[in-house]
Amino acid sequence: MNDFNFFSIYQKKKGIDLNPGSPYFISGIIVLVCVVLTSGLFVYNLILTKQIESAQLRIMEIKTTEEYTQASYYQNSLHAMTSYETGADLALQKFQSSDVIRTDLLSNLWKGLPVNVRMTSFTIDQTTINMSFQIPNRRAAAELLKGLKETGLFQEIHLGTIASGTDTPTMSTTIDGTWKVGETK
Amino acid sequence: MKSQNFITNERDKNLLIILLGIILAFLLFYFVTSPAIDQTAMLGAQAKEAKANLESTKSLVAQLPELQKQENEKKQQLLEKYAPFFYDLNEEGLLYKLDTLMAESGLTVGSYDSTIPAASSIPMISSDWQPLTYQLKDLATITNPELANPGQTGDQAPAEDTSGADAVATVDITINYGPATYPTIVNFVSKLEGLNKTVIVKNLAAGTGDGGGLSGSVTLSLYSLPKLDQSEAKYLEFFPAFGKGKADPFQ
Repeated sequence: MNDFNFFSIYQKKKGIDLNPGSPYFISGIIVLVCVVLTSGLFVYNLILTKQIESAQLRIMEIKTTEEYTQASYYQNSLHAMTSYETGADLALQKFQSSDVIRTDLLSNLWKGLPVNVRMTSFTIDQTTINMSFQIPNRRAAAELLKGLKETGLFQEIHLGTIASGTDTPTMSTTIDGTWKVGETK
Repeated sequence: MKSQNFITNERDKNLLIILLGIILAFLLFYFVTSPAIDQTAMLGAQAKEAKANLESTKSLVAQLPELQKQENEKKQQLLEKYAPFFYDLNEEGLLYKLDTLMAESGLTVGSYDSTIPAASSIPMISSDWQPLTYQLKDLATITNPELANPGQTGDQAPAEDTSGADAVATVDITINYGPATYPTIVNFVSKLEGLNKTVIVKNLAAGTGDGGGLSGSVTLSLYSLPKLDQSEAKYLEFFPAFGKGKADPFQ
């Protein structure tokens, strides 16, 4: 009677015979490592994508709220007012520096006039003044010019022609002056 | 005849198998892993940016009460600072306002002419005056500094801005008057100053006329600034004293 081992084929296949030195094993390990690394990267990328979508969704939700709309309005308004202030400040500065012809200028100006001269006309603008006078004599013209210079309002002042009157004993003359910028207030 | 194999021995066979594995790994890395690494870096930056945006959005909402308070305070500060500027330059309002001042000051006006409002920067004041300089004077000034030409004193003129950021609406008005007295002229200028508004007398002329009294002209420049609220919108408003509606316009 012969013995038959019905499990012989299973006994042959039992266990895996690994040889670490086998080239198939080494190559398999190398490829396996690359596959594992790549798979891990794909999973990580998926996680990052989900995080980004979640953050963007949350941002969208916040931006639809009334509080965000108001906060955004106030923030934009503050930025706009900062730029507005820069331009408006400059405009205000320029206005203040060009506001030359005022009543105090006129009153300070006439303080330099001798009492024996009489003005016949004047034209004032923001940089110059032109005046015409009737004067009794040339000495009065000299005193007139000196008096106006002593007001300290002029960068330059000049006496024009002194002409004798044809029908009257009085003389006439003109004075042209240039204001000192910033000193006329 | 026995065929010859390319692989002659076991060692070569092992090396080729390992090499094949390395090549497979390299191809996998080059075509799959490396792009995935690049995408990881890009997604990492995007995630960081998205997180920062989320934080800033949340922070903005959290600052709402403070922003509201700052905005109101800033607005009030600027309204007070720029109160001298007119709210607007509507022609009928200005005419009514100035006519009132002319009547109150007793100025007899012959003509009144107003330009159309235009946007422009307020011009810088500059004169053509040049100091008298020559070599001997420059040399003597070293020993006697009193000879030096007096420079411009007082406030420095603001720097010229060529960007137009300070452009404001402006209108020029020319008033020819006469016969008038000098006190009425000064009175009118004084009332203009009393408005505490951005009105500049650009030119003032007066002269004695044949008929007695003084006649001349005054040219004004008025400036307005767009205000941050409506509080001054009615500054130039006036209420008509006469009814409206005529069947015969020539009557």
